[in-house]
Amino acid sequence: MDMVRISGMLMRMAGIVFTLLAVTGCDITDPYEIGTLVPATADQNPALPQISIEVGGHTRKIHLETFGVDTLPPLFVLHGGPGADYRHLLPLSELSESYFVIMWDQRGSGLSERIQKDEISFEYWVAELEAVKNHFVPDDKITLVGESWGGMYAMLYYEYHPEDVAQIALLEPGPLANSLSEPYEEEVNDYSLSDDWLNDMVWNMEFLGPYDHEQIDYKWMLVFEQAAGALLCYGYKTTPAWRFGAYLAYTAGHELLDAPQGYDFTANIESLTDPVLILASECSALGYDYQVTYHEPLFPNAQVNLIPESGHFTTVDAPGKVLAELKKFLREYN
Amino acid sequence: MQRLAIVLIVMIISRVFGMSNFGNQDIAKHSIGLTLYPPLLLGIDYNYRCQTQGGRAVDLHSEIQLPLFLIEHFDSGKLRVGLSTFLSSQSSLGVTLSAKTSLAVGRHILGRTTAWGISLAVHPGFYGDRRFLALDLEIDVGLASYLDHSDYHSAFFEGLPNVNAPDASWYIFPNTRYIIAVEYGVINRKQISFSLAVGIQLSPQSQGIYFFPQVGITSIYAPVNLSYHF
Repeated sequence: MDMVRISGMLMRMAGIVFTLLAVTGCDITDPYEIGTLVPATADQNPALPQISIEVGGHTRKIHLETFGVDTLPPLFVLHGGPGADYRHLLPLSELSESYFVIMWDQRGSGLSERIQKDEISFEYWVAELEAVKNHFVPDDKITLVGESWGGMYAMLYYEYHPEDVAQIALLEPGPLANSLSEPYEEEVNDYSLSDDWLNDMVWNMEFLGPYDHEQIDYKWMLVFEQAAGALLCYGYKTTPAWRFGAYLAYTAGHELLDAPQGYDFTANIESLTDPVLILASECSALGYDYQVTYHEPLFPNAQVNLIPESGHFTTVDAPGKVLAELKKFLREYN
Repeated sequence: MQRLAIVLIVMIISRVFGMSNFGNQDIAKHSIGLTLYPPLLLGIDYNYRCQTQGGRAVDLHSEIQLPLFLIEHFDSGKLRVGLSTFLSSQSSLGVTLSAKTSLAVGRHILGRTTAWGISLAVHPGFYGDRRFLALDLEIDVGLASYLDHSDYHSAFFEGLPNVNAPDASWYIFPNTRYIIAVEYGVINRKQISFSLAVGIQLSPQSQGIYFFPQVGITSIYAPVNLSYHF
């Protein structure tokens, strides 16, 4: 009897069991059903605010919101990850009093449509930002506010399109070149075999497989908060989120950010003579000390300001202080 | 004190339930053992040889698996019970067939999960007097998981249009794994056996774009078992 026949036999047995469960009134959910483990994405839920963009030959629906009047100068908020979403950055919508604020979940992230491996490249990230810009403000310069990976993304975009950028503010950006990642990774990877999140992750192999994206996203949801320990050492406030794009995060990390060829988003940095604001938390592997030591010297004109009483997600721990610092820096407020 | 009580309860239960992969020799009727499933699972097993006749043996076995460092999650664990039969030929070649069913419970930040599964295994190989070398061919099917979601999980769905946080429910066919390994076992005169297997475990869907070690798919299968037979 081959494996296929065995599998078929098991499925028939299970079918009988679940018919019995259904008859007895038990709730049964098909794990392939959309939105059972993680929220549905823009392509699956038309009620989500969204636009379609074409990048790398694929048209994808991205979850996007705008805040403020579209005649104001545009300000793009770039979330972290790769794979996270902008939910915890929503306090920055307050900047809509002086800016036309645009936030979106990057392709494959959050509530935006999932993407395939051939759509994941630095060039396509640049193309994505270009596509969003062309959709709303094709002729305007844009202000970029990027958090963590979003800070790296802002510098990546500046490398390709410096002429499009009005101002840059970085909220605790990740390493802007892979040569700067070593001290950060040492601290982030300093975890113990007895950590709850690690054991939870392993134990959940008993319950859910890697059948589809929802299952791996759910598993990432399981460890997302706890695994970020070295970035959240000021405390463990819950970070609001919708979905972490696990496949994107893994592929981008494996194929791009951690790949042997490395990366460097500082190629054009010397031309950035306008002031750049870097906000950094009090306690994080990417916090104030890291930013002052590794990032500030790269810029011709950067200033690192401390956000006290905060971990990596400064808009969660200290949104008021972040907004105050941004308003001191951004041109439309001065 | 509470933790000590939990450990004691677990130990007592483990004397009742358990499982041993070393069930193919004409040896004592009972065995208890520990199995380490790298990286983080510990199995405590009990095996009862209920019948031996003409080169055939029938074992009843049971095992409790625990996440090694999650003793404080005393409601996280997996109980497997099963039946195996050993069939030999005169040339020491033989095969062990086993069927197990399992009930696993886990508590975590997203809620509580209860899973029911079955596995079938074939172990063809060489079975000598005091050692064996065999293949381990196993299919492990998750038939259903009951997911009881926490408020933390529900918060991911809050405020979205046309969306309600999912209710607790059974999720059917949540997992399937195939295990292919080579296993070796040896028993000494003091009736202490050591066995290990080295191989891979595959989920069909873990191939291609879904291959994702970081969220709990490991392709390495390397349990190590130490048992005492009495």
